[in-house]
Amino acid sequence: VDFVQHVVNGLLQGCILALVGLGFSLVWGILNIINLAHAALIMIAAYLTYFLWSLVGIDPFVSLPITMLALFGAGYLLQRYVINLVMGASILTTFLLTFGIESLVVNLALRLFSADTRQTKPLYANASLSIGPLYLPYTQLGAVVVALVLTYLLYLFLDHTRAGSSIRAVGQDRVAARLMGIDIARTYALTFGLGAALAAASGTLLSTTSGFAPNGFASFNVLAFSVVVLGGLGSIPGVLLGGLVFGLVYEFGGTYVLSQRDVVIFAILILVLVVRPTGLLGRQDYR
Amino acid sequence: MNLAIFVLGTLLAVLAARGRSGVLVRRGATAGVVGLMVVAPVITSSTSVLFDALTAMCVAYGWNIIGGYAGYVVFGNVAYLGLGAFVAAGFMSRQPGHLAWPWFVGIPLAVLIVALVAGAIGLVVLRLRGHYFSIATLGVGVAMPQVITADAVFGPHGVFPNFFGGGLPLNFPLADDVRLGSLTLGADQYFFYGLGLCSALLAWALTRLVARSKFGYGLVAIRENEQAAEVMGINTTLTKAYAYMLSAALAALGGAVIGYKLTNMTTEADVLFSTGNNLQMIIICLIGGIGSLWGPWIGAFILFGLQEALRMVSGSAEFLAWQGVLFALLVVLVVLFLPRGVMLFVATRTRLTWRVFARNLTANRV
Repeated sequence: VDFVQHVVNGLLQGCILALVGLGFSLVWGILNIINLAHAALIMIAAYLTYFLWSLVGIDPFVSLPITMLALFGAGYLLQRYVINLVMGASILTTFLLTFGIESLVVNLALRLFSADTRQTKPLYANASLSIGPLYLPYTQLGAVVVALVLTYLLYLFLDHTRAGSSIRAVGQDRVAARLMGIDIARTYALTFGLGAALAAASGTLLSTTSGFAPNGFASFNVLAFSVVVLGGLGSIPGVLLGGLVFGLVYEFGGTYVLSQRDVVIFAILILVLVVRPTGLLGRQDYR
Repeated sequence: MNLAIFVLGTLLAVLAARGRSGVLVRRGATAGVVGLMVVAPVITSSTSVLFDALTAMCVAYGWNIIGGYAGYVVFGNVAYLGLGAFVAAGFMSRQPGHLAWPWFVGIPLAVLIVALVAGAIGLVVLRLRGHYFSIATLGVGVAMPQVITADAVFGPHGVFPNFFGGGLPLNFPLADDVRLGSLTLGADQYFFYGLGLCSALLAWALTRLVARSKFGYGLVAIRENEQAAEVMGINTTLTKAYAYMLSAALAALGGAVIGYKLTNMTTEADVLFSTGNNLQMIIICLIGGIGSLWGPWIGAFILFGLQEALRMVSGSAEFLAWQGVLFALLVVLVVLFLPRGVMLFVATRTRLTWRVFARNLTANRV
């Protein structure tokens, strides 16, 4: 039973990790940049959720669309007016720019919000659904539902809408897409906005499931990267799979093997990159 | 006084780096800047900021070799900075179970060991390119602080029991003040500053050596086109691995000297492995000019000179708290407006005008 409980915990956690990786994967797959500001976006959303709950009293699951919309706007503007300026430059430049934005946001948060650990704790935070001997915390369950729904919505959006098609077209071949009359700059901004919105969703969920502080988000960039690499770049089911695997690794690594989770993540990352660089379900076309 | 040293040092370095000035001027300026740094502890009341600048410069020179010359952007050199300090502390500490070796044995040995560790890690991560390589090194940076606290290896019953403390405190021995007759030379003012200066000069000399060697040209060839470099007969795997080791060694050297001055490794681990340190080496290279001999020197002096000036203007500890924000903002602004750093104006005939910044801003727009 103990074992099954750990598996369940790992899978629940894994769905949120998949959501962490999803926005990262979208931006990487389409824009071909590694967004090192991803963790910062997650952090902003976590604080937004926390303050909406603690100051205004809005339930985190109700404020989810608000934070997502806010971060979509912020992400859209950031890409449209800042990151688009360096899209033609070398990999070092995009790296450094997003790295700079990340540290700017984290340092600002440290000044404004202090390094205190906070957690969004609605009334039902400690309540659990018990099925036989198993315990499923309600916040975790809600997070899983949100994560799965958002993943499916992204899939539908990319596959069945005009905007989604143009995003995929730009990801496949930028020049050809431009010749087809797609506005590259705006499509990039739209994609980054979507990535930011997904980051916001994961930030909201993370703020309810565990405590957080500004400098605790640094490993999420490596984590998101690892999830995407494991699942395969350009594959939505792959990201989900990668997230679930890492959820289990987190749970069991933290329980049985050793307390050094980041070392485990790093080891898996290197192993996958060396053995199978395309990931488990990697593909060229983004869907 | 320190600010004056930073300004004068920057100007002399710019003069030494200028392609247009004659050989004699360049050599004179180089000698001038070295001489300035040598006499600095006598003419300034506190060399603390200068020490910070010089050690950061040494680490930045390390980043410059792999990130600048070879074009392999690393984000994890802070791991080797911290590791260098911890290994050196493990050898030099006078606490029971440690070896209490003197600094001139402990620090070089630590640098060597870190270089070998980096070589082993490099053989794996250097198989990757581009985004994959950079994130893998970021992973090294995240994982290293956890590795040195791993109980299985460094715990009380590990392979190297308590080498990095492992629950027990780990300290560098305190450095004594040097007495010459009636003259007392304070350890902070002279000894540590001297170590910092030596490591910076060593890093500078090594970079100079690399930049003019076949090895250095190999690195630049790899940066420009790795496949072509391979075809031209460069053993790219080995060249990259050496560059990565050299880069880690300089990070470890700077880190060991920084750690030696900080003394208490148990409480300062977070400082050594901080994102701030990680960011600092990159921003120094970026400001000065990535992949150039004088870039890190100019970058470090500008960065720390700016810091010193701001501290004098604001005159309070409040400023220190905002330092991280300012640095990060500086990175964003430099990346957008001056991606080639100050060297753009020093090494080429580009004039310093507003139009240059505007052109840089829009040059790579989609």
